[in-house]
Amino acid sequence: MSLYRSAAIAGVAESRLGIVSDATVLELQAEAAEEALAEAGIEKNEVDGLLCSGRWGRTPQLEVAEYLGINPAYSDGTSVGGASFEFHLGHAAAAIKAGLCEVALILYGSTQRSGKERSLAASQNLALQYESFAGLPNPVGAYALAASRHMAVHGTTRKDLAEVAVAARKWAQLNPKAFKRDPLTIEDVLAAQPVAEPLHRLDCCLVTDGGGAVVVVSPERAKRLAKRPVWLLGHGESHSHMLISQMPDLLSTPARDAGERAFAMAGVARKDIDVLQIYDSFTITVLLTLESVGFCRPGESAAYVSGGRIAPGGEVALNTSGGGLSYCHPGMFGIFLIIEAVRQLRGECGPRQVRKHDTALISGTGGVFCSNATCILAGD
Amino acid sequence: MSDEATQVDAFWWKGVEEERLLFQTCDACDAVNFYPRIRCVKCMSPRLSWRESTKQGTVYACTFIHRAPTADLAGEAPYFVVLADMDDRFRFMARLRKGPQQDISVGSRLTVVFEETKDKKIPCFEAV
Ligand SMILES: [Zn+2]
Repeated sequence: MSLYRSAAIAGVAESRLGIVSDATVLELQAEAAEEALAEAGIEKNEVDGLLCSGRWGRTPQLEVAEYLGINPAYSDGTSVGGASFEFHLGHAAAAIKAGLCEVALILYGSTQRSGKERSLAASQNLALQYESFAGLPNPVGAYALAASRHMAVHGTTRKDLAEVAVAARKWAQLNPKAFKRDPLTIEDVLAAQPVAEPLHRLDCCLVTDGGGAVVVVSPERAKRLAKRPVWLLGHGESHSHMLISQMPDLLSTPARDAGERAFAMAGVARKDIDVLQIYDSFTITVLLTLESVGFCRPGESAAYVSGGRIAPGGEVALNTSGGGLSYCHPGMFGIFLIIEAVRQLRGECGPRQVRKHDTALISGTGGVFCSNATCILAGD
Repeated sequence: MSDEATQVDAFWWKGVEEERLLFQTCDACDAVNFYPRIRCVKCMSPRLSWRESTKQGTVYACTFIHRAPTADLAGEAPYFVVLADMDDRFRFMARLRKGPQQDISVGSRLTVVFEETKDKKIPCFEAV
């Protein structure tokens, strides 16, 4: 079953972002849901699909639905790390195409920064017992391992990684909602405290609070919206492991299979993509994802991002919000990739608006390169 | 951990106690299984045989940790965590034991040694 143009995004919104010390995860999701539905011109009582994920609870769908007063006919709690929301977008479209629901709400909220969120620890008794004695800090250590491998095989340098962080900051300076907007240089990134070498402090995403919402509707419902819809052209998903020691090849992520599936479904080529939103949990995540999705060949991502190519004014519009590195990163970032892609496709991004904005690719990575879902979107 | 460990897990940890690094091969399809399982990861056969590793391997990737994940390990930091391709065809992750030889990188040769910790004996790497 192809999901090509089977569903449209009708509304997107963030909650308050950054440091939100007076809100719960449910309140943040209520804020985002209200704003996303309002911009779509859809009443809450039309919502018949709910998709959400959060590390704060064992049954987040139940808690969120009860709090918002939603009784979904279709409910999905796929939880595969930060990429969950890209999975949700495909699943929402599939459910809509199958006639299971007509208006699906994808939600996320986290108070990770302010620390009121309880996080459920992984069970030490399962597979983790074969890895945890190594003393690898999760997830940064796993990404550092991948970076070390990329450096050894391809000659990638810390400066190449720093290009990603600096470009993200330059985009963030154009985004009033971004958490970190002060100037950042390659030298700053290189001089930052080491965390898990080769990764240093500024190679790592932010820790913030925040929530987001995405409203997905059927083509029929998309005829009566407050804003022009954004269409799903293609979707693909994949996951390959849970533990980094079980990842088959540290230089080839599930983005390869997910991206292949998304492009096949969308019927567009990589060169047709105007805007890229690529999960940047760490600087290395962007490099490996670019290679795995096929925007460049293995080993060529350093050249791809070099010399400001992915910064504002560069040849590639990538992570135009400032990304998880500079805009926000409340535990999981996937929903914010969708929000920014939709705004770019609608041409709403003001000083950071990309001139040509017909198509966008979103690549969500979860866990330690465990999961990826890739979505290809187009404006109306 | 031992209280709740399954037979498979308990057998592996008993090997560590005896300073043996164990893995499995499948009698049906010859696949190497690590971590150990009750059914083969490749073909689901229950006919898995324990093997003892030569404990020799090569650095596949490594990271130098400055911020340890637990309070117990904080005193050890900074230290290397190594993901190694073992000569026995499985990949294995462990910390590099503190010693005179700390100059490792991708491709370096390693051997597995064992170290007492507060809770239990664990495998570590040592550069060779
Ligand atoms: Zn087998």
